[in-house]
Amino acid sequence: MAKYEIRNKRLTDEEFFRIRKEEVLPQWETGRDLENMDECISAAHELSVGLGRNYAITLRDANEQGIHLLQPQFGRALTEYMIDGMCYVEDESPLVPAGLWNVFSDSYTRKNNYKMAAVGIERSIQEGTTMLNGWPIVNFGVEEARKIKRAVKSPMTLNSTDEDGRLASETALAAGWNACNCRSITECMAHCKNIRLDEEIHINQYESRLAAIYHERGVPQSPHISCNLTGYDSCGFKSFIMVVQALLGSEQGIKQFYLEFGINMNMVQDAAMMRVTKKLCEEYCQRFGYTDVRFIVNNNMFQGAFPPRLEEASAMMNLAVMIGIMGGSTALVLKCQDEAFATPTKEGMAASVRMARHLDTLLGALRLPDNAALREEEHMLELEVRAMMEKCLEAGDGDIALGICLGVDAGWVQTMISPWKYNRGNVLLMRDAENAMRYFNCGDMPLPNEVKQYHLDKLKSRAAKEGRPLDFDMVVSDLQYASRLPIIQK
Amino acid sequence: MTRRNVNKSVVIGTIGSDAHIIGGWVLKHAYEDAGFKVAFLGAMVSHQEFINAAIEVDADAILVSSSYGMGLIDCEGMRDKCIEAGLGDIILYVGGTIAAPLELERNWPEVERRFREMGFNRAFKNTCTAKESVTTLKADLGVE
Repeated sequence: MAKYEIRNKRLTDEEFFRIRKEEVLPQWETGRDLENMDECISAAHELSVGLGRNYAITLRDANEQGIHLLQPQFGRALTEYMIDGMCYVEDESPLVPAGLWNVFSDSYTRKNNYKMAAVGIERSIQEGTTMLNGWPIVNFGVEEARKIKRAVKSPMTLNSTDEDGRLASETALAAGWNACNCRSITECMAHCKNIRLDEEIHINQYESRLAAIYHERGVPQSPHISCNLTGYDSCGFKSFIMVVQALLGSEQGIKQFYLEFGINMNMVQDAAMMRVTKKLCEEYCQRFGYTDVRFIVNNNMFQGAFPPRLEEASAMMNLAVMIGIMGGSTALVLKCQDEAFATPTKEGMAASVRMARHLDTLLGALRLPDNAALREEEHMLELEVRAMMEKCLEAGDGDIALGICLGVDAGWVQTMISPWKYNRGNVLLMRDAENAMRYFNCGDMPLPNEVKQYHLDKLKSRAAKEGRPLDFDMVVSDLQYASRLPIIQK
Repeated sequence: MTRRNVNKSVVIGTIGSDAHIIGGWVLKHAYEDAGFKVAFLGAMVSHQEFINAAIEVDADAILVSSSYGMGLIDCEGMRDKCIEAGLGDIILYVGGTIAAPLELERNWPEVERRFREMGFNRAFKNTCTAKESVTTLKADLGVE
């Protein structure tokens, strides 16, 4: 038990402001402009609540009114490209008034490599195009971030975390963008290589507390708990890490969460995941005394490989939007036709917003009706997530931060493919005959026998359909199940 | 200069600050299936890590994966570092989503030209399959 000092405990003000001064703001020169937190909060209030463009309030109201918010993503190397692109999408598509922006930073920024981000900015100016895969928010700093906020009509959030997104989030929140990220485990599994989970949780406790302070001081926040991972992960695992992250964020004082589901593209299984996760987030938060926390279900698109042709990419996006709407999402994060090749273009994003808004119109109030298959999927997911939660809570003597670290060590907490060196990676997943994601081998995960058997039985349906035994080649082949173009017979 | 013996050994990894590991993961399995010895370095691999591994396993080729669009920046100087380390004749491949701006990605000959200029033997689009990669390397090495 002495191995880790991390506990799921709220940072004191003293600790928070010490970390802010000593570890966060000095990371780059633009941190100096954030030193006066009162000024930051007051500017954020004016630029979000004051303009009627607060992310968390918009999300809460849409959720209550049953409105679907569309959420394009955008990130280019220079501020002028950002403003040009985002205004283009708002002008050329029905994004306003039911829209949100998901702005991503470049990967150098996500790795805190601000020197390389500066190289990328220079190269972009020289070549007259974007040479970075996102907007380097830290290099540009808070005034440039406010400039973007003033130029666009839809509320904004920032997607910029790998190991340490604290300075990026400080910059975004002070600019009136109203969500950061509460996703330590997700980040380790999806984007990190060497950092230990206890260190990452500690870093993320700061980011969660930062959002809570803004919220407590009148600028509502809705941090994202995501489970996008690498795109090849089981629904049960995704649900489990979201419940864990809900407990970690709630302890820091977050009152409204944006649950961001990276979906697996099977309507029944994804809908079950969204419902079960929300239910268990609420239930576990109640159990630990976080009684006034709101969870809003939203979805991102498939995180795996996209097909390299317009029609097939459109099919992917249409299905994802349908799953979101039918499955009960409020906001729908959009990808675009360029996904297979490059970061989103303004034209591609505008097209996606038009497509998604029309699907929303066509579907009306239709939702996935209650049915036996959905109930069975929910039942199995619940068994899986509860087993994982209880195992980790027991190991951590009731503390989930400690428990999940020990769970990673034991191999209970793992996924199939990850850049993270602490991920054991002996889980194997493949799709059944209906393309739901199933465990072919659940490695060291402590899943109930009933769940294991359910997954194997489902996989037998695929073996029967294809008339061949299940094998490892199917696992590899499934990685491209959605991106492979159909063969044209001549 | 005598040409080194081919020993069917490769280094695979994702370059720079890129966490996308899928492409390398698939290549690792494909090359192992084809009888290659594979040093798989995972994600976020620096030039020096690629080179150290290549020396360690006496690699015929370094297969660089890049999926986040900044491959043009990340791969600069890689060939020079190989030459400095005495790996002047090592084969360098790069593949994935290697150029961020769509207008550049659509001009594939320009992408290839830029990587060749940087000393890469070949650049592969992300539509290339693992099997095609293996077949191409075997042909370049003159082995079965």
